[in-house]
Amino acid sequence: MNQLPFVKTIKSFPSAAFALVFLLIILSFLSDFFWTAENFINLGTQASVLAMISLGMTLIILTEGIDLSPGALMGLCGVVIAVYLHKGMEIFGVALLSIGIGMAVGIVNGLFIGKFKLPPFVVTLGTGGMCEGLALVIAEDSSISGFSESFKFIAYGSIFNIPCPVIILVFLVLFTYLLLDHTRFGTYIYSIGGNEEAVKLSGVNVVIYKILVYGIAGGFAGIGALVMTSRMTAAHPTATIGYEFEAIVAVVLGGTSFILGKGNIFGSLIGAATIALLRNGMNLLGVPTAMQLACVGVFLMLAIIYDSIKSD
Amino acid sequence: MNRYAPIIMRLGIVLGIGVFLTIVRPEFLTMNNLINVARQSSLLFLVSVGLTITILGAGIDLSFGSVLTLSACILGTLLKTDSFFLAILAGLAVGACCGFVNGALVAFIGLPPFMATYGMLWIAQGLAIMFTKSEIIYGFPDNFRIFGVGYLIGIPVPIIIAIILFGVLYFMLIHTVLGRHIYSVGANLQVARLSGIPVKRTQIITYTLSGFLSACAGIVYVSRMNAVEPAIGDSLLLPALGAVAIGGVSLFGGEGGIGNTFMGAIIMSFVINGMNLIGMTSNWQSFTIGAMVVFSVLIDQLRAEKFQTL
Repeated sequence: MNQLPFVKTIKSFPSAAFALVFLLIILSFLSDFFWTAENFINLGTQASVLAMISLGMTLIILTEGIDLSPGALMGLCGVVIAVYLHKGMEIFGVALLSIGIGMAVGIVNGLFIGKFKLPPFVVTLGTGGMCEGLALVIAEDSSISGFSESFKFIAYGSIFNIPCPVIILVFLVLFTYLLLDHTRFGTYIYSIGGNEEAVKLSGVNVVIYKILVYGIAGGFAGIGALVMTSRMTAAHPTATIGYEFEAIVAVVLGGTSFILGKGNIFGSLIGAATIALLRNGMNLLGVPTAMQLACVGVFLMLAIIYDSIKSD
Repeated sequence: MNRYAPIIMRLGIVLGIGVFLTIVRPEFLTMNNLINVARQSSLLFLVSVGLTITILGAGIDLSFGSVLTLSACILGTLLKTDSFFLAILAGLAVGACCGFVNGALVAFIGLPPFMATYGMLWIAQGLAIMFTKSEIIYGFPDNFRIFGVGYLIGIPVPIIIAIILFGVLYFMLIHTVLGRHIYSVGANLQVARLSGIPVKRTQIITYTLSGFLSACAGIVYVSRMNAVEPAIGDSLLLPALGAVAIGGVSLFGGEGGIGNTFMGAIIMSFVINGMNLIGMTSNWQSFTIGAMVVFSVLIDQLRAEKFQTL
């Protein structure tokens, strides 16, 4: 069937793009507070943490994997950050520690999934449970607060009027983009998702690349936890449980496929913005958190159904 | 390696844990505590059966915890206002509906099972909170509480329910057409389709059954606790997955049976009981359970690989 170029272009957009425009229009009618600078800075901070997790999740989903541990992992990183800040560690050291823990857990995930070929969702669910338990043990069931002003700079500060979280995100996006589109590593990630057996037979060490992918995603979760802890000015061991769900939805909305090694990080960024917008809007309208997550779930179903109809 | 080796190994584990606990904490070997463990394992078994069936069919049902929550909340609310039977019927129907939606998403839309059921996890959770407005419903009639705390000829009712369910599901999986279909779909979906097995229908029935069984477990849970809140099924996923994995059901589908889960639930309950007796806090327990899930899957996988190369 011949289609106008215009229709073709529209069809190539991921479902997130439509959802984003739709939400922007709806929210400007529903809330007076929506189009304010304050709300948008808030939105930017929220979206950038989610976007960081989504970047890592995109890499993982491109290799036909899944990671259900970031939510619990962020909780663990946050608690460790809080404890060491109270012990007087410098921000730089804390940041390294958080990224290190994230990468370590990610590498363990990758090892089990790549080397021992265990199902990704079982492994990451298990390691997620372990992280949650550890976080609760360290924090002794309560939240830890009371940080220095300089630590709050990570989330609330700005350089040239751009909020710090957004700057951090830009660096991570650049890193992921270069990695994915301009290195051999990126090509392998796409091909592992497309046909793992073929990649293996052409002599590529698939195990190492899978471990690296999960390691990088874990590192991103560590950075996300840093910004998150700074933004909430407190670390609570279970506050971020379920965060991985939003990230997965963002990636799927952004058009990354579970089974074909297709997709890109820019779709995921639009997806993350959509989810953050959805959560922000529902916050403004006073929808309770659990209902918000249920709505995100419905969004996920709609997006997947739309994508599967489009690909038929 | 003969086919009974895994079963003997697991009996050994149970015995080992038992001996260790008896030495460390003598109060382990009292009738009271053993009945307690038996009751615990029957509850864990009840929540793990739905998961087992979906995993046997090479799928997974991550949503069973919140489907249990949702149906329990509806059950609890209706028990307060309507008749006993209507409440139970509604609870079971809601569970089956959630399962059916999961099944339809997997079979017709072609979603990866963990994705479909992970979405359902959050949707059912949200609906449960919306339905109860985050309030706790408590205090149910005595005739309803029999399911959770009653005794029949001296045996706690949950244990009897678990044994009956074990028998029914064992028969279904081994001796009925549906059971054999589930195994074939789990072993190799492509081959199953080419041999004329109604794959989609089997998948839908599997997930619907899983939802229904979660709702059944919900009835026992509500009756036992005498209260419902929207967080009732929150922390069930890992222990149940642990029971299935430790019991030796292959997470890749098509291998294992309901007996494995029965065994796994007993091992898991022994461990949890032991951790309680030793005085381990619940936080350390969730760490341990997470580790047990990962390592039992790992051991099974390594064993399978060794088996293949021999």
